[in-house]
Amino acid sequence: MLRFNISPEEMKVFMEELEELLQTFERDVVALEKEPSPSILAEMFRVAHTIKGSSGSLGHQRMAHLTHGMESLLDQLRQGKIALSRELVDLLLESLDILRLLKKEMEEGKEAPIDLDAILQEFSPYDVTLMEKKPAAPVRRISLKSIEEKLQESLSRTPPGSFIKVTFPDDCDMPVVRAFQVCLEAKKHGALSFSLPTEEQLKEGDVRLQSLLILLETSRAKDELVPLLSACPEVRQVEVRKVTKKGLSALLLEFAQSLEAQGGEPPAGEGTEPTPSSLACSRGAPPPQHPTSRVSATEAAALQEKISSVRVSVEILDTLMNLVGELVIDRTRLGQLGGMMETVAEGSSVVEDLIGTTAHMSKITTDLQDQIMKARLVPIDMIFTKIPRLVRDLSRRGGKEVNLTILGSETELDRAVIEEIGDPLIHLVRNAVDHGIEAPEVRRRSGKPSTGTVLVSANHEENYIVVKIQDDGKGIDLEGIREKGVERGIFSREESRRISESELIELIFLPGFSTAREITDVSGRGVGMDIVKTNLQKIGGVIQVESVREKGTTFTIRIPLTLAIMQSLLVSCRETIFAIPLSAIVEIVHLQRKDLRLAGGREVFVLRGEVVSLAWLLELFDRRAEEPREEVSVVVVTFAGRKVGIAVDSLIGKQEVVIKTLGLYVGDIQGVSGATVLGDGTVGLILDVASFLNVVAQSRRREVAKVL
Amino acid sequence: MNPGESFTPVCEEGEVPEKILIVDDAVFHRMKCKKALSEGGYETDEAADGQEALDKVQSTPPDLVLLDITMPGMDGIAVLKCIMEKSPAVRVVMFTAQGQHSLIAQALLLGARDYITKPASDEKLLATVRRVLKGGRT
Repeated sequence: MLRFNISPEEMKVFMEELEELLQTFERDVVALEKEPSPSILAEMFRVAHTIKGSSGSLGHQRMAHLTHGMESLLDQLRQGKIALSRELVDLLLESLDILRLLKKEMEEGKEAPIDLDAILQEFSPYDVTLMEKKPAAPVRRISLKSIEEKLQESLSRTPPGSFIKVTFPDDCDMPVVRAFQVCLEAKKHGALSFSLPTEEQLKEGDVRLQSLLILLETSRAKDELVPLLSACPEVRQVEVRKVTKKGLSALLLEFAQSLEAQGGEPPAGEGTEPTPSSLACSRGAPPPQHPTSRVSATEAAALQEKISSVRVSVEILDTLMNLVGELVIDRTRLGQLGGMMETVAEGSSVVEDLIGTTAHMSKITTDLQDQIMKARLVPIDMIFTKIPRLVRDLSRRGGKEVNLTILGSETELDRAVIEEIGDPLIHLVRNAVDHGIEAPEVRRRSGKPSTGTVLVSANHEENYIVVKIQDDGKGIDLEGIREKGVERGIFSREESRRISESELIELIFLPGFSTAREITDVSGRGVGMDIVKTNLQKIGGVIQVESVREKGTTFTIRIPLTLAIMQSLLVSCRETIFAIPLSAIVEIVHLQRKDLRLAGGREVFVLRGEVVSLAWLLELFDRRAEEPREEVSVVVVTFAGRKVGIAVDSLIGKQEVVIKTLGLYVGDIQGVSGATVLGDGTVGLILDVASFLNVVAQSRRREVAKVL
Repeated sequence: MNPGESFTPVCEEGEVPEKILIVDDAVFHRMKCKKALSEGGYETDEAADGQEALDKVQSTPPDLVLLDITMPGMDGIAVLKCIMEKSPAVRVVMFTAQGQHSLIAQALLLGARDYITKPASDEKLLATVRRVLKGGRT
């Protein structure tokens, strides 16, 4: 078991922050490969740094070790000490995957077999802490001769200078910096004529440190200096000696040993040759301006925005939405009561007041609902951010060249919807790359640019969000589908010729239907287009496909902005009230019995020259109308690009309904996606147009089977 | 600190607890520090970024600022510079990553009192804070 000694609340904060950071990192690493920039590297470093800090204080050693490696590598990339290569990008992506596994492991609460050693090994060459322990290359050439001169000079002064040797404990955090602090302290008490390592070396940090040797020109006595310097943090021992003629050779030996520990003495005769970086620091100029310290106007605005926002948990938003839902019901009920009282006590000022107040409350409720809806919205970027990596991996694996364009990633939609459409979207993108885009040589042969294009876009259309996944690949093999359809006995060869292209394309959404070439190895995950469609339908989404041979395929998904409240048309059927999503409705027609015809075993009617098939809402109850009525009300809905008429007993009216799930007890009912409580307390059922039509189609098939 | 062990508050009765401002963009890290410091008897305040930190140092000056070096936008060094310009008396301790030698050196030159390497144990955090708060002005 994985256990961490923190409260659930703290764990929640940790996990939320981790997820955000991982998403940022994923987006960055892909962007980095496309076009490396210092700002991306800086952000990635920050992410690794933050995760390392958080996981370290949580006590998650494995995560801390891994992010430590990432941090070191990124730090050196950022500073330009090493160059970015494809291998390094792969290493970063690999680490990201492991971090995701570690996160999953924490969510599930049990330890997974994750082999960290291998990847930690890959990071070790970049590890700064390891570097600190291994001998640094003798980059800075300091000759023993120059040290001797300094000592001689110190000896000639009155009073002669002091030699100070400071050591640090083994578990000291960055002893180099501690040594630097000691230098700073020493300088308060005298003039520092020389130190080993030098101040520049200490400041730069890339030096191995055993002990710090200082030559200080000071009037302070040994007894004063020792306690002053010992008071510096993390100092083990301070030793102070006056420079004397007799002790000179012993001191020189100390310096020589220290130099040797640093990486050996350079050839004699060479003086101190500072490297360009140490030059920059020793010029006495103000410390170099840190590039990130300049805040641009936009950054400042972003900062401002950050302060004015707070985090609210999704549960609270859900509860709020539910409460507003209840308010919507009461509002409707109040409106009805007002109407009823008006008939009883017409003209009464109290009733008028009630109606006025109800109207006002109604407006406020609507505003409140809008605001909460907005609070629940998150940018679709949460999903889109995964796409570049996916496309990169797939195209590399499949030997394809793909240019990915993502538009409208700032488009917002309900958090619950985001959760549901993630997998379908990813699946469609996978398909586009795997099965849409051809190999470069195939593309060249058919006169297309060798690099394929995948366009993923999102935008709002009224209460819907429309997501498009478009590729300029080979298109769907309609003939293949036609063949397969005949083979599977869905239609006869004869019939197959009359089937329209759009109807053929619809077939790809049937469970288990795949033309071998088109949907093989569907991403190797056993998720087919039927699952994509089912998932989308669950949230009231509709998917449309347009495909042109050799030109490409476009999948268009329309999803409602929210799952909680829906505009609907209330109809009744056998005393049960149904709510049909208004979004699916095209029009309402009243038909005479004689208008109905039979075609291909189906009832159809002609709507302005277009043949529309008819389904009876009664069929949901597994029976047909008992006594044929003269006139029938038909609600025409569009579904998957087709028009279908739904015959109902009577129409009630348009109403906004709050969707409630049927709950586990009732379970899944075909044709019904949920329930709603109406103003008068009656329970209405929400019609799931797609699944209702499936029910109808199935029962028809059964009947046909019976006849045969 | 063990759960059963009672902590010794740093302030005597009637004395105002010293206030520490935690500046870090990482929510979880801020939370952990806040907890450790509160348990150690300190009053805490938080800032999620440089600007917020500067505002708080101005409006309600803390006794000590724990300042993360690595932050988006204005980084810790830039914040430190501003603090040192406007309120040089405020004690600042930097939070750093392992290996950020030159940045820490720069921070120490600019006037930071000390540094803590992330992640630090609660004990180490408290020990550093105590030491820095005890030390007089330099």
